[in-house]
Formats: sequence, structure tokens, C-alpha cells
Amino acid sequence: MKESKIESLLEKYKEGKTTLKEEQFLFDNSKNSEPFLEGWSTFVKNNKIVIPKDLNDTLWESFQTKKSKKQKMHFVIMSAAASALLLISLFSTNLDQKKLNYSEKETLLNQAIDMMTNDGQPQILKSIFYEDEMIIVYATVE
Amino acid sequence: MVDSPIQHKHLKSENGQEQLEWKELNVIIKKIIKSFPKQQREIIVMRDLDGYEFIEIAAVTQLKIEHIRVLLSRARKQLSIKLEKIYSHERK
Repeated sequence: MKESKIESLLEKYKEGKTTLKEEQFLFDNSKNSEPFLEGWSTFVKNNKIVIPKDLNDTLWESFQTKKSKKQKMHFVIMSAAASALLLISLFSTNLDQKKLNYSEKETLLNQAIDMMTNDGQPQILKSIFYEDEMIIVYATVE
Repeated sequence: MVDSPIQHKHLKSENGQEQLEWKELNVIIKKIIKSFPKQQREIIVMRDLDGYEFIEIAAVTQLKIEHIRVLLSRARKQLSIKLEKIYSHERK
């Protein structure tokens, strides 16, 4: 009885017309049946993907660890960015302090010009009176 | 597309002989499946190893259920013929 059922199911199986339940029945009762079915069912049983019982818990745990890792990473990035921002702002304020405004620049420039010019003394014009390889004689006109 | 690559697994067989026979069979079946056209290979793996319903396979492969049945039937028949050949050769 059982053998004939298996036989007819096997025919249906080869036609691709069996349900998952019928296929499971075939695989469970494959011993001492057609060698193809015996071999194939052993292969299927040993390679079938089985969902682990604690899949949900494992998934939840992995999500949680990922989440906390992400939060830590976020905190590190934010603190690094804040430090960088602080350094940049300090540096830029120092630079601004070193910069002079136009009026200060003008004052300094005027001071330099004053240093270069003569202190009210009449300008002396020099002209070369005599020149050879060894000596140069200047003549001045006031 | 196929989410269960056929992996080698250690088997709890009763003795070494059985384990050896199993390993041999495992290699043979993997070779046979590899020789199938892509669609047939994907469908037989999805149905028999992953245990998907035809409607689910149809959704993944974008094929009609009737077409899937035909491809599955071809794959199973080919597998059966090739395995039978191997067994009959061994018996000789």
C-alpha cells in the first residue's frame, strides 16, 4: 500500500506536480525505494537550509550591537568634528588679531617714509669730478 | 537569486564506509546539478533545498508557475536518469 503510494508520488514528483507536503513525505520514506529517490533525499536532507530556532533573538542581538556601535561611532565623529571646529575658530581669531587695519597700516607707512627722508637738511647733489680704476672724486653742489 | 549555495557538510553517518559513500554521492549530485541549465538549477535548488512554494519561485524568477513546473520536471528527470546510470554502473 505504502509502496504504491510512494511510487505514484514519485511519478508526480518527477512531473513537478507534488506539493511540499507530499515531497516531504517522499523524502521521509525514501529508504529502500528507488535508488534515485534514496540518494537525492539524503542529499536534500543534508543540504536543506534549516531556520535556526533562536533566529529572532540572534537577529535582535546583532541589530542591537550594530546600533550601539553606530551610536559610538557617531559620538566619536561628532566630538572630532567639534574639536576641529574649535581649533579652526581659535586659529582664525588669532590670524585676525595679527592683521592690521588700514589706518594702522597708513601710520606705519608714514613712519617709514619719515625715517627715509632727510631731517630738514638741504639736499646735496653729487657729481663725479674724477674717476679712474683706483679712485672716484665727487664734487658737491649745495 | 538562489540563496542556498550547496555547501559541503559533515555528516553523522554510522560508519566510515557510509560517510565515504555519502561524500562521493554529495560530489556526484553537486556535479550533476552544476551541469544543468541555469534556470533548471535555480528552480530545483529553490524547490527541493530551500523549500519554496511555486508561487514564491514564480515571484523570484518572474516565470509562470506552469513553466516552473516544466523546468523542475526536466531537472528532476535528468537527475533521476543520471543517478540511475551511476548506480547501475556501480552495480556492474
